[in-house]
Amino acid sequence: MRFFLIILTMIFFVAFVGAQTHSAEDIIAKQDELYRATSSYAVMEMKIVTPHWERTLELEAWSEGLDKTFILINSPPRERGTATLRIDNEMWNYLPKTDKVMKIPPSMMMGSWMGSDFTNDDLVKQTTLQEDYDYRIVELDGGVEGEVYLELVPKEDTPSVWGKIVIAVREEDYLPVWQKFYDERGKLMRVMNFREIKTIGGRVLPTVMELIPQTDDGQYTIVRYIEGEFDIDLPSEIFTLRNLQRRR
Amino acid sequence: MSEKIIVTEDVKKTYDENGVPVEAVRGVDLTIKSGEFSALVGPSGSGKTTFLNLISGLDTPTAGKIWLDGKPLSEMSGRELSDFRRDNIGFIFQAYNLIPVLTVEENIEYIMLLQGVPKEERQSRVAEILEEVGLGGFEDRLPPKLSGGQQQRVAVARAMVAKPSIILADEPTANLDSKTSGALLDMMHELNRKTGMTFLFSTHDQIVIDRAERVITMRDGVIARDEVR
Amino acid sequence: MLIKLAFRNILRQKRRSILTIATISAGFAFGSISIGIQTGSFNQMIDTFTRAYLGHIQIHNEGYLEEPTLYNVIRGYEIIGDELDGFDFIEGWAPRLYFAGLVSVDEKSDAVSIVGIDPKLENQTTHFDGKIVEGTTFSSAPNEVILGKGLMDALDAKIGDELVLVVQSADGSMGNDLYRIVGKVDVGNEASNRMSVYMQLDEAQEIMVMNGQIHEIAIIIGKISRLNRYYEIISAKLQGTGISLVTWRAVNPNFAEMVDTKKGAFFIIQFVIMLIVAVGVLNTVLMSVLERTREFGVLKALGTRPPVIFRLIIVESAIMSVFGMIFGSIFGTAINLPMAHWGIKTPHSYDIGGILFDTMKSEVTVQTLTMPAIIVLFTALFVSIFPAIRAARTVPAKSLRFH
Repeated sequence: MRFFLIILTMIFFVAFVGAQTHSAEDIIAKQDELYRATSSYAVMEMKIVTPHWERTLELEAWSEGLDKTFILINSPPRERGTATLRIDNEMWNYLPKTDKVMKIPPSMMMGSWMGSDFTNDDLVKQTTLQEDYDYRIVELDGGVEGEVYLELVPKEDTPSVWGKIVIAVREEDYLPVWQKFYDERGKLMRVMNFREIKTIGGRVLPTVMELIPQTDDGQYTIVRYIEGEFDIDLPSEIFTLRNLQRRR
Repeated sequence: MSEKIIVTEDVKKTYDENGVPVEAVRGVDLTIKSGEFSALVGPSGSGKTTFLNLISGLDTPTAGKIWLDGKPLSEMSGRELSDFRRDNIGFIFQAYNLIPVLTVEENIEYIMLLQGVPKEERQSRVAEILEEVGLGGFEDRLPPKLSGGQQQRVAVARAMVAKPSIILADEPTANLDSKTSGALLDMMHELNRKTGMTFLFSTHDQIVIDRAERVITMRDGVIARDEVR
Repeated sequence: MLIKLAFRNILRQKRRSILTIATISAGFAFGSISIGIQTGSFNQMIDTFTRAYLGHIQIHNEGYLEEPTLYNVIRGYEIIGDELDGFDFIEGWAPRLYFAGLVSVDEKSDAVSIVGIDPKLENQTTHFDGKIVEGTTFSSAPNEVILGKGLMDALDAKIGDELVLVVQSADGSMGNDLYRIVGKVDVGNEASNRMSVYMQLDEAQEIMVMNGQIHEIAIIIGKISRLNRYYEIISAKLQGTGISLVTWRAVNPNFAEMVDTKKGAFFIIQFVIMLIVAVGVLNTVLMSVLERTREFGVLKALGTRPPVIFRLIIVESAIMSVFGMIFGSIFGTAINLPMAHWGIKTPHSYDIGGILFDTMKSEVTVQTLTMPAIIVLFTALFVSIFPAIRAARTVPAKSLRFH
């Protein structure tokens, strides 16, 4: 009986795959799971380039589930020790020079995180693409062989700054190639490129993410994973204000 | 100065009075010679005032031609007519028509001012003519302060001072009593004889008619009688 | 002769002429006073508004006003300052550095706009000290800030509280420091009060890594009525230095537009007054022309050309206008001068651009006399044209025919 069921499932599956080569659902699920885990630890490098200056931050980041993140800046010296804690929708920054914790007000959520092209909101986002967006596979003019494209439109009850997101993934493993973010009027606002697929912490994923806002010329931010571990045991102590305020 | 000071040839004037054409002058041929002292007489509505206006260029004829001192009026522009009147015609009106805000002297010298006569000459000529009309020393009086006879004498002085070729007087005695009228007419006749200036009166006053050397009678817009004494 | 004749004609109807001259004087005086009050109160309004913060003239680097970015700065502003100090008519000038940041007091945080000021210069220019409603101004101690009163309330902050400031500096780094709130300021503008943090210019430059750099210099001149002239003078002096000089109008076009709209309303009143003068003059001139038809007939019969009669009427109106203007200017100035000096309290204070005004002040300028003079003379002569043409066209035959 059990065997029969498995066979039946397989037949259905094959029939399904035969009818439609790729499942939009599978692709979205892959995107959502790619960098997430029940818990993770990563060492990253963030390079911020603007017309006026250019700088590189060295970061350590811990996460647990979808709702807890802790980021610590180790370099450059002026910012060393600066840390960000996020629990659910709330965010705090620790400023070592003044030894103070500062809560990020809701009005600043769309503001830049540490001068990068990522907003505070980008770090706070705790939901998944699957929950927030309606999606479908689309054909793209000038599409590249070996890539599949999805168009994501926010669900009606999702508060979103984007009107539409178009993502490109590799056909063979659904790893992201790029994501393009459009505003409500259909204007391209920013492009995120994924590069350098490597195995990190047992996972195969693009280790470089390049965020290019389309509004400012010559400005972009590159995040590079140096090392990473997924699904590890983390002391819950990490995600507390007390830990945030600890002098390092 | 030409012998014939005024010549008219079949002059006609039709007015439009409230849509009804009124023929005030219906074909007048007249010649006035230099130095004449004549009266144009006729009842009211005979056309004599209109005819006087026509020959002074204050009004334009509907038909016919007018020569003043040999010059055809019809060929003059408004400005030339103004200048021509200023230099060649002296007016005396029934209502004196002095400028009330100007003194006797200023009224008399007005035309000379328009002609551009220098101040000293103006003053001496005003003084001279005022002597002649018997108003010596009245220079600085204002017309409303004078009697009717005195005002008309000022008007005579004003008409004569610029030495025009002809003086047209429209009912000059109508507002004056007979004694004053006689004295005024005698004075004008005297001046006529002395200076040889031509006088043409439009009148129905017997005092004027008695002294005129030629009496032209108008009736219904035409000359009914022309009598030289 | 023409003038003599005109004078005599005016004297002939004494009562009517006096009435006409009185009407013209009244119109002139009213015009003069209303222009005086207009320029006075608007200049006062502009002055109050601009002295609050904007300044009469501002200096920025080229292009800053069009696109105010952190990086479009004036370097070495002290040199410009030395030039400005050389002008006697400049009451004060103040350099400012603008940037955004995040502040927090205890649990509360807010995004703010920070203004780095030189307290001494700012005081000379906009009397910054006078606007402090609680606490004190900057002392010589380091790390002091003064907050707008709206912001103070929003943060639940008190004088003496600690304030953390985080900024992104000009080099991209995150600057942060701890400050003490020493004062609460009311700059008279709701939005500024809600958003602004004021700190010492040198400290601002340090945290922003922008040594020697500023965005703006605000200048207050002695007399705002001479704004345009002074603007030209300063402009000529600073030419070719790559900086741009603008008046308050360019900095706050909304306020300028509002003032201009209100000014427009005053012009309507003036227009009405001039209309009354015009009707008064027209009436007089028309009556006197109609009365004297016979006289014009005589003048024409005697050989006067029509233009001379036209001129006579115009000269008569002009003479009455001149007398009207003389009396009107004496009368108007007699009222204007004390009003310029003391002003009158308005029954209600009124709010323009977020600033309260409660006195109406007049101002005596060349304009308060020339403007009504031009309007009175123009209207009087303009309305005389028609009667003058009528007089000039008098047909002697018609006017003389009926005795």
